[in-house]
Amino acid sequence: MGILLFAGFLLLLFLGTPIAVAIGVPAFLVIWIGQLGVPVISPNFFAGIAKFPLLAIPFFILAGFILERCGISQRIVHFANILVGRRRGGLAIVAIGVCVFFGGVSGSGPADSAAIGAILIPAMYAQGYSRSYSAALIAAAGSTAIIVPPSIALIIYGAITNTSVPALFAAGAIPGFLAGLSLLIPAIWIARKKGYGSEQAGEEEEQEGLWKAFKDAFWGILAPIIILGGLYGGIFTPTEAAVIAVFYSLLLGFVIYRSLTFATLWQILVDAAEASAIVMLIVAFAGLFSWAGSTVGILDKLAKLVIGFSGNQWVAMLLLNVIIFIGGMLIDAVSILYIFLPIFMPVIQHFGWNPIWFGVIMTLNLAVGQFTPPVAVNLYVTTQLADIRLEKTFKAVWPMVLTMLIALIIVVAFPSLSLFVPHLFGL
Amino acid sequence: MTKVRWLAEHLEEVLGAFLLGAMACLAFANVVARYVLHLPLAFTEELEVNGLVWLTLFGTSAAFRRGRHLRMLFVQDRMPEKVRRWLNFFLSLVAVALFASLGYLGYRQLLDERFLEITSESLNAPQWIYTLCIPVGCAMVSFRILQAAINDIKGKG
Repeated sequence: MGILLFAGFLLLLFLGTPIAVAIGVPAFLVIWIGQLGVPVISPNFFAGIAKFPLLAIPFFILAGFILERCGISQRIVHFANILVGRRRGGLAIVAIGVCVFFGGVSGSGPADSAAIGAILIPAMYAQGYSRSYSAALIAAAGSTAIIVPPSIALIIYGAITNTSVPALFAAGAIPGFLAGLSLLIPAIWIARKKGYGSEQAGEEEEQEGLWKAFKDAFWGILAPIIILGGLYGGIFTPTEAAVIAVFYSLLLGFVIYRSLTFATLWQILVDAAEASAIVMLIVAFAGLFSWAGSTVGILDKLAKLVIGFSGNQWVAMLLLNVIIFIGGMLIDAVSILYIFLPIFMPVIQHFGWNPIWFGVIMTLNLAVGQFTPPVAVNLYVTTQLADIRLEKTFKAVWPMVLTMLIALIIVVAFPSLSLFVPHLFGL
Repeated sequence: MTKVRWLAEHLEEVLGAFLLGAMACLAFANVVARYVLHLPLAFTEELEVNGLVWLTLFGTSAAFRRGRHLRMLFVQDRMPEKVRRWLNFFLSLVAVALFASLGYLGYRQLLDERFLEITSESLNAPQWIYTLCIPVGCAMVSFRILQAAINDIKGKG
């Protein structure tokens, strides 16, 4: 039965079935054929979605869409560009900084890559950066959105493992920053070597422009501070912080920048409803999948296999990370969390690892998977924006995969990098 | 007439957008009530959480119509056009089977809840009103998958 579950999933996945369906079909079949009781399916599906912490997901998605379309990303890009843009590889630095920053508003890697890529890829191309390098860089930098708080992946990790989401958000801050930092090295190195980016463009506007650009971007820069400040301070729950973010961005769009109309707001609501549903459908079917898996006992068996593989916790850690990395290359973070966490949780307990620390490790690793070829959801988004084939980016993206993996090793080696901030806020 | 047709094509988008907007307003009202007026509106949580299930099914339907669901196309991109088209048609039928059986099971759950007169936790509303979203939503989703699959086969065939 367990084999049917996993083999059925992999077969449907590779044939190109929507991921939610590829997860749902084998779960249904196993519950039906294995006579686990089909009446459980519908209540399980319903209860998988109807959870209060998960409400934060549609609200964060909505807030991200509003901020993106009220022109805040252009303003922040403009400000960052004046600050550091005018040098060799300057736009690459801007791209990384803005993606990490915007990750502090949106919670999803592909969404971050799409929002920033749409603005920056044409700009980078105009300044002589190659399309493949631009697409690779934005995909890599956008992946930090799932580790930089707020993060949909961390919300779901918290819901599955019963860990505090504000504590996870606080723990993700330094590693998320580190991940962005790790991308600077290959980004600048390649840009220098290939001579990307010009130094002379618009020197004279630089002086007077900086203050104006800062004032223009100020309200947007404030957004993550409000969201995360309220969360870390323990004032708001994640769902409340998310809905405050929605109304703050409406305030920006309608009152401060006056860049939104009711027609665009309507389109934003339509798109956000759809984007939330895509995530939540995976949540619902993946919950059913892991219920079926644990009922037939396959998940327990796999967990024992991992523990029995070696008594050494670092070998186990390496093994889990290899599994997460390969999984993350193939499918989205939400599915991985639901499918693998039930296997990993006994292992985490067995070795006495801090679940918050492990959540950060897992999410950071999943972030790397999001832009590692050949599947790479983020690269898929950015190569479409850059209008090139995915294969063209392989050479440019490998150094970035490598340095972010080094950042992952550092996060594994020094647990206090993750645990320091939650301790600081007493979370 | 054109308006009716437009609505028929976009019904789930309209419902989903309205619902999301209403949920956000309700949640915001709850925040204001809790921190400004110190009056927690606990019942809003029940509405929002159940609204999320409705929202998921409306949005799923819209995403199938527009072909937006996440999928791994790495293997499909390497197949001949004809094989790919029929494979997608077959996969659509698999998806319809999934949602049709989920909808049927949801309908059975609804009947049970009506028979046992189960009510919700904080509002004491009949639980089946919330469960209704599964049969209704799944019917909508199945219809859209079939519609998209038939358009796909006819359009390029």
